[in-house]
Amino acid sequence: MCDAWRMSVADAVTSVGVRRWLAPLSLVVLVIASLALGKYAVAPLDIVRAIWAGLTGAPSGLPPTVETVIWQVRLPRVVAALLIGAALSAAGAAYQGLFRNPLVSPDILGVTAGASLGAVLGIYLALPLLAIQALAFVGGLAAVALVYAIGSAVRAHDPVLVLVLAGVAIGALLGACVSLIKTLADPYNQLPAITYWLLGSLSAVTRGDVLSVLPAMLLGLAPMFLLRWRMNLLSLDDEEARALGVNTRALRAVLIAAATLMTAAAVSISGVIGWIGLLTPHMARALVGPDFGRLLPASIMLGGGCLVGVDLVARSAAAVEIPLGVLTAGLGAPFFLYLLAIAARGWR
Amino acid sequence: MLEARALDFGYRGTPLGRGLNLVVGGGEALCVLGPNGAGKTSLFKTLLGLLAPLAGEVLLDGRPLFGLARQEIARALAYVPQAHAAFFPFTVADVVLMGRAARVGLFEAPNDKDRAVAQAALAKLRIEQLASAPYTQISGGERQLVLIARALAQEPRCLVMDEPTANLDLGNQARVLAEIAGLAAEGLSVLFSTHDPDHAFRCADRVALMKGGRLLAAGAPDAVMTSATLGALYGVEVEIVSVDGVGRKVCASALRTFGM
Repeated sequence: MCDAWRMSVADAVTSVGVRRWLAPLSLVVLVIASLALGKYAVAPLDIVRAIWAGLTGAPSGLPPTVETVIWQVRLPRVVAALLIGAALSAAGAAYQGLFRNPLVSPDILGVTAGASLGAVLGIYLALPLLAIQALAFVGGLAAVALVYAIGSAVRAHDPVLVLVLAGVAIGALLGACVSLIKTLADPYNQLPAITYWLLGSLSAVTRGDVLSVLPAMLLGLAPMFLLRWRMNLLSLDDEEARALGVNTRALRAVLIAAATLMTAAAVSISGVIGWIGLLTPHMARALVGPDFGRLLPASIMLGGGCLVGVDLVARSAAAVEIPLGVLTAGLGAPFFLYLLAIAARGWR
Repeated sequence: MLEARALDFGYRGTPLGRGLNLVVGGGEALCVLGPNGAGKTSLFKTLLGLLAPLAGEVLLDGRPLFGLARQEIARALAYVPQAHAAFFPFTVADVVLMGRAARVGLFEAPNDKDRAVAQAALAKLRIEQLASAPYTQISGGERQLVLIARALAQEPRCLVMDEPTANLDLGNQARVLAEIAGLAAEGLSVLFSTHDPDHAFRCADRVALMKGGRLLAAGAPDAVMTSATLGALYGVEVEIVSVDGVGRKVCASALRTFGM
């Protein structure tokens, strides 16, 4: 009896305790590594000292160069990676629950396609950067609004399936428009910029960009956080959830709007970054289980950590920056296959 | 109490049933029998308020169902779907807790009282040992019991069960039928459907025979279920015999079919 009890306690510590700490721990390690590593290396201890000094207001005693590298050069980029990764991952976790499908990513309803068309159009018309970002943001929201309107207009037994199919169709249509603009664009100036945008990058992200999208991200996060328990019910069959007393139509609309807002905000400053929103919710689910109350924070931490790590590789692995989309797919696809083979239990 | 009055149901453009009258009183188990395509599932969905009636009305405890908020309906009326695969590995305890949705605030999570109700529902069906198992990894029979526990966690007055014994082995069928009889004895109104007329003999207070969206007959099983009525219902020859060993009537079909 006593032994059995001790065994179960030991199991709980190793399985639940360690698993729960894995996400925050890896996040802290990746952030510190990302601040330390680069063309100008900074000792990890100096990072901790600088952040501590920044938090308490005391002088850090570090050389000004180190201070500049940490605060002006690396931190804005690390914060941008954190926020964008976290937003994509949270949106992915929400979409996967909403659409009861673990193969769903945040662009399932065409948000990325719409944002791409907006940004590509902005680049083609040689608009200023801020206008390009605004067009991307509006394009993403408009695409999902269109898909949702079509999904609501079609009467069907399975409203979720109709939404997904409408998303696929509208996504293809918008993709065709992007391709058309690419053929019309100036191949020396505009085409590289378009290609670069479509592959995602954080190299041009400024502190101002981060601050401008932060409200939209938080606005999207709020309903996800507040409705975290009810979110679980939406992963049931639609009629079943309604029979349990859930107003699925209203709830789904609010959560789709929230996840779309977060994704559009992220994509508008970074360009298209695939895979993070598909993959990290899986990792989070394998760590903490499917309950959205625990899945959301875990997804946020893992998504943020992942993009910080990937961005670190992007800017330090080669002499030129590697586009993020290339890396996330290059690292994400094999890792996804690994998960599929080894840890399929996590999402069955 | 759940009541259908002059109910036309089905989908717009394809009505499935017309002028249907049905009452499930408190403390009564009513079994709906009918061949495939008789409209049982659509009728149940209409009675649950998931499908709008084409004409007529559905009354829940005397009040028109259509127009009540989903939350209000779910506090009185629970639905037990057929055991199905789940999409994510929620634990059995989490699945049963979902039955509390109509009694938990919009931005809240279940509290200790909700947990106690869920726990009691598991205990009532004698499946407490499954509480921490992932719903995705238990057997079909266990899933059906978990879904009944989830419905009980709603603390409903009426229970609608769509083929609760489908896909279950003999022992689990008996277990589910015993629960149906027990719940009705406790005062719940239970409406269920089955493809095995025997199940009506075993736990139903009343039987409704349904074909082509119409009720052919309704009443006590012994009165309604004869070889003539069941033969007409299913289009095969049916014999009803009393079996001493189990102390009740059973229903057996012959291999001969006849024209409908």
